[in-house]
Amino acid sequence: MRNLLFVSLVLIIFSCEKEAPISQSVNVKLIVKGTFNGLPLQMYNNNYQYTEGVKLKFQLFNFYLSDIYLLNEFATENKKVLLSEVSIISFKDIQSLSDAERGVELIFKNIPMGKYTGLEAGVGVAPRLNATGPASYPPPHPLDDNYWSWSAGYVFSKIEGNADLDNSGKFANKLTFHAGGDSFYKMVSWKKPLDISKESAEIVLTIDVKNLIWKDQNNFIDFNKITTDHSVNKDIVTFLMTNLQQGLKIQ
Amino acid sequence: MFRWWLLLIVSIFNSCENDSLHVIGFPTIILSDENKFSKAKAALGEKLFFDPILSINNKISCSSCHLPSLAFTDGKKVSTGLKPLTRSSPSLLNIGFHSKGLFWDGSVLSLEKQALIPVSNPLEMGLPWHLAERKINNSGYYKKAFNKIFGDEFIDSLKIAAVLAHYQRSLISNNSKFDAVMRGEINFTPNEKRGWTIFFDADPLLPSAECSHCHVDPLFTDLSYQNNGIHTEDEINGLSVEKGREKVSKNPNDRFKFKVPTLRNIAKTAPYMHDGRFKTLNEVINHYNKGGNYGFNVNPNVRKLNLTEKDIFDLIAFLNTLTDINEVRKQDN
Repeated sequence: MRNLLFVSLVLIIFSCEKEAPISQSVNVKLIVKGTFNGLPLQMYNNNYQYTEGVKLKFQLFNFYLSDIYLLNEFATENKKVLLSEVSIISFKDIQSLSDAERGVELIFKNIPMGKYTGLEAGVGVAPRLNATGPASYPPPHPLDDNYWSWSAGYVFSKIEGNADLDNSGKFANKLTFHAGGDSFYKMVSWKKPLDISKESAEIVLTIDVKNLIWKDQNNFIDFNKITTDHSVNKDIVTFLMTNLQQGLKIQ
Repeated sequence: MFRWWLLLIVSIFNSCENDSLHVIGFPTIILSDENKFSKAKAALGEKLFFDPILSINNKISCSSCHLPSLAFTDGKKVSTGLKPLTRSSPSLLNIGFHSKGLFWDGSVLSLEKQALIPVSNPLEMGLPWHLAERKINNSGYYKKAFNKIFGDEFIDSLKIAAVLAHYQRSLISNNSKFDAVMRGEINFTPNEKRGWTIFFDADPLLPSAECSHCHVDPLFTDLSYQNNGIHTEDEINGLSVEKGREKVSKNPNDRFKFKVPTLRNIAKTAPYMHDGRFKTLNEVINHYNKGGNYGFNVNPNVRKLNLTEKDIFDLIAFLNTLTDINEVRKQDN
């Protein structure tokens, strides 16, 4: 009863408010498609040739994007339109081939229609958000999980899976790479004409996970030598985060 | 300007209706407007929780399997209601924060829905709900108490489940030695501190136990479902092994995944795992130290650890700092 009274009073109070002008807006879908060496990235249900004699399976690949903006460099004002303060791109449930072909989908609502010139996002968790913690975010929220309470804040990206190092087909070697830390956060922008003028406009980003762990014959993570790191080995976390930031492409 | 003052006054008036359930440092519990937490609901739920009136034989209450002295577990390998069950009784401490499903397999999403199940389950309390409603409505005490809160005549299963749910939400564990250390009030002993470091993989010069990937503080669970490699090959090939999360999700990749339990008051909640297979914390840590059994979907963080006896001793010293059951019981009183 009191709730009803409260709602009624609020409605009465604000019923006299002058209506603000409403610009036309639409929902925007950000799709992130994962591959490994060009093959659709599936958790559990597929395996991938890595280096000679080494095959991989994945159980988890995720990463954060912060301050995702649409760019409009020709606009006189409102050159940037915020899509999301923070989102997690998680491939945890991308298990079937059709899941992989569809990709991870995020919907951003009520985005002003227009012709934009690109997209911008911070890869990782922005420092101001990284200084918070899961207790600040009632679940479900992107920041209600993936947190190192004792150290560097949120885990910006996780790669977890298994390697078959002995060609047994069992994939018995476990792989866990967790990267994070303010110094590894970086803004990235992608230039591309984006026509956000119809409902369900789509923007597609791609990431090939092989490019995160393998650059060339001399620069790759050798799973015969190392199978885990939680941002302790700075060379590895730098390698992973730099490759993630460079590897995200707009389609 | 006036309308803002009026709105403020109305807001304060409205917020006074419900008691707060905010716990500093913990995630907020989001409840619907129709189901706001109140101390009165929790108190009535507590009365019912310990009352065997909700069982067919008037001998079993919720507390039969969730004893406060054992951090709301029962100390048994698997629980027994009217008949033996197949799983160990999970702790109810901080259960109100479990936003990703309840029971070991996450088959129920809210405490209100969960509370409906044990009462009518023939293996647990065995009382069909229409009979449970009749018993409660025939009780002068409960009729008066429910009417005081809900303000109408008939006490149905949803109202009964609601008060039980709110009592469970009031079971907060946040006053252990660990919490006091985190608040800066006291210090760990050297062993506890070393165990904390090993638990959280917080020092590259010390061993990593990989615990905190899933047992994330402050709840000491990330509420996820994981295969932690406890099943042997014989069990996997047998027919009797529970499928865990797969039963709910229908996804074979979720086979043998169970909810990550809280480690708060872990010293009080033996035996361990969903089937109570490990009697002591030493057995649990030895399992993880060996890297667990093989399974295609065993969490990759379950890996050979090479912990020494001293490492395990210190890890258990740290785990013992998560005990605050006496504080919880004080809150109950």
